[in-house]
Amino acid sequence: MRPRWAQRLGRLLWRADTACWTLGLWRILYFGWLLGYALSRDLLAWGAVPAVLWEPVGVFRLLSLPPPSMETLAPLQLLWRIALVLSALGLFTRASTVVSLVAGWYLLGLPQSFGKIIPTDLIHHFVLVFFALSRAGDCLSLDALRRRGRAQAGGTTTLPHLHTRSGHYGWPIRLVWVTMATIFFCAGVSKLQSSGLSWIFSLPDTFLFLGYRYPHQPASPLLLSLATHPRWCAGLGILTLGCELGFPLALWFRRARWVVVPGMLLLQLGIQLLLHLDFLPLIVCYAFWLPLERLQRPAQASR
Amino acid sequence: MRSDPADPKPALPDPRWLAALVCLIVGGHLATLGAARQRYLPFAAYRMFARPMQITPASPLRMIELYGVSGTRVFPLSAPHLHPFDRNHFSDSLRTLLSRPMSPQARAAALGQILADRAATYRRLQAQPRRTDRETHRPLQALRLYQVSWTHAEAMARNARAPQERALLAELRL
Repeated sequence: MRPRWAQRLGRLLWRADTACWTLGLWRILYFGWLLGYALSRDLLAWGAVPAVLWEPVGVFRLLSLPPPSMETLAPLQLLWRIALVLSALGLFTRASTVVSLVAGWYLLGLPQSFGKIIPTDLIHHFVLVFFALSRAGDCLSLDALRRRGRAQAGGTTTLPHLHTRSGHYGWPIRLVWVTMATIFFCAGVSKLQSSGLSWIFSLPDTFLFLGYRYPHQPASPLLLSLATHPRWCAGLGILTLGCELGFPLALWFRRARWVVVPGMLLLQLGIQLLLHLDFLPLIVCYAFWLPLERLQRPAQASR
Repeated sequence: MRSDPADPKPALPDPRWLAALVCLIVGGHLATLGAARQRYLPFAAYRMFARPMQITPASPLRMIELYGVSGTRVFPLSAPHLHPFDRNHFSDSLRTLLSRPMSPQARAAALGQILADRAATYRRLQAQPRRTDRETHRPLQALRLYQVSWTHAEAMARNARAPQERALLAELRL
């Protein structure tokens, strides 16, 4: 007999029966967005940065990878973009998502190996793994069309269709949830570990400090004005800690999902607007919390 | 929505490897919580402003910044001169470099390489048509790396553009 927590974890992850089309739609949306992100970033420029600044971290350090050069980055960037297009279209989905993963791990990890970890990019290292291991090409993909054509020609009909429900189509999204919950929970614990509850009252100083460390001078006047209102800052501090530490509750409880997920999203949108720190790569992952299947029900009912 | 019983429902994924993935994600992040340096990509401690940050004489804010010299003016250079870094990443990257044990000669050579690279960026910007601000295209006589520091903060960060200390680390004549 399995313990109750293991049964609940099982229901949460691999018994989360989900329709095939939802994972197909997430695949299109996610890889489409990642393609836009890849096209908007000049990753080749990292190949021209002097090698003395190379400070490899993680797998770069583990594999003793040398600093990149423009000559190696140019074909890799092209390969990544092609793999992202194929992954979004669902053509050779398994191979294209694996190439997206390997090239993505390298290219997204590259700026991190020049002396500063950019935490907002890191979640994609996980999301790419989930898609590469999943059956995201079963529906809403060119692969599905090809297979259906072949099956019809051969007289067999044993293919999943759009509304086939299985845990296979639910676990990748549930693991994105688990990753986000872990990230935010760790961020909350880290704050308590560093300074305890006094962190809540330190925000005016932090906002003022960020006015100096701002990536693009001059700093936002709204941020600096906020620093002069300690009560508002304390409110924001409580909200931040509450959402971060409470985020794992959203995995199990639907009501908590309606509070902490939008709450955390609003906080990060605020950071994006006030600090101009690039939180967009993390913000985009909130889309995975949208109840796509529920959105479909009213449409069906109206038919 | 209900599934069609005639559907070829794929067998459920093996719970063991999914459980292993969850353990890896959660365990990896928790393990890096106490790490002093964030080196375990993709498991970062996600500190996200975890420590209270204050500017005081006892804990001044120090940054390394790229300055341009034009005539008698010495001024910090804007984002296009730092590409692909932003101001914070450039400073952190140089601080990491300077924290390595190295001889003064090796340090001077490393900073020289960085300034030569920034000079190439400056020349590229000069060759481009003037689409950005005038500051970006101002002719320069030299590039300098300074360690700048603030020992006290003023309301509304009024002294953000006037660091209280500025120590020259390296210079390159153009």
